[in-house]
Amino acid sequence: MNRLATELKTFGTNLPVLLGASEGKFVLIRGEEIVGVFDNQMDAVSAGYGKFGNVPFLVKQILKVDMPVGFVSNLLAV
Amino acid sequence: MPSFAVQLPNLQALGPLVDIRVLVGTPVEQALQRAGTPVPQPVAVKAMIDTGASGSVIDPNTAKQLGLQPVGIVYISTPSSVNVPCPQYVVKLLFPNNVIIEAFAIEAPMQGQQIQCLIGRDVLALGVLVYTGYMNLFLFSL
Repeated sequence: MNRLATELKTFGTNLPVLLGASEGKFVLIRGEEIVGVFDNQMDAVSAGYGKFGNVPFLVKQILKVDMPVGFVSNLLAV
Repeated sequence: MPSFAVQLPNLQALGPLVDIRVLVGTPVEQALQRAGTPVPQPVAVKAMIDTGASGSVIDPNTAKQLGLQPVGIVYISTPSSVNVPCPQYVVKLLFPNNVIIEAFAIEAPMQGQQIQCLIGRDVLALGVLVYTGYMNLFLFSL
């Protein structure tokens, strides 16, 4: 189950606009609301906790292509 | 310079394992304190330093024990899977000698029960890792 499905959908819907204005920066999204755009990931996360408390929210870098995080070994059971 | 060294009986067979504790990240701790909610106790885990891992990982049980809420979704690729979505959390990693690193940890299950955490290149990028194989010793400095 993806607890951030709504936020990911909001990100996808707004990605063209975000790319135009803020490519490479980090967007903070809660539900269907784009809360703000930040220069780095930790600033966006801190703003999210400051505004919403300890609840799920999405911080995502604004990129044309989302590159996967790579793992060479078989230590992960996925 | 903050650092720690670990010597193991057989570094080649075991890999660079280290006992660490995982804590909620600083912004989480501050949010819990503002809400008057108790901050979860650190969780002791066995971690492996993995130069083949782009990012650091904690297992689902550790995330659950800390009551972590996701702040992101990342897609991971392994030798047996591609683009698997995984939650991401902000945590503090407490190494021996009180070496503390704030990190974004990915939640993913581990193979077997021995390891609950991978220390990836996001953490290694912050310091110096010295692997002295013939002495069964490794050292990490910030």
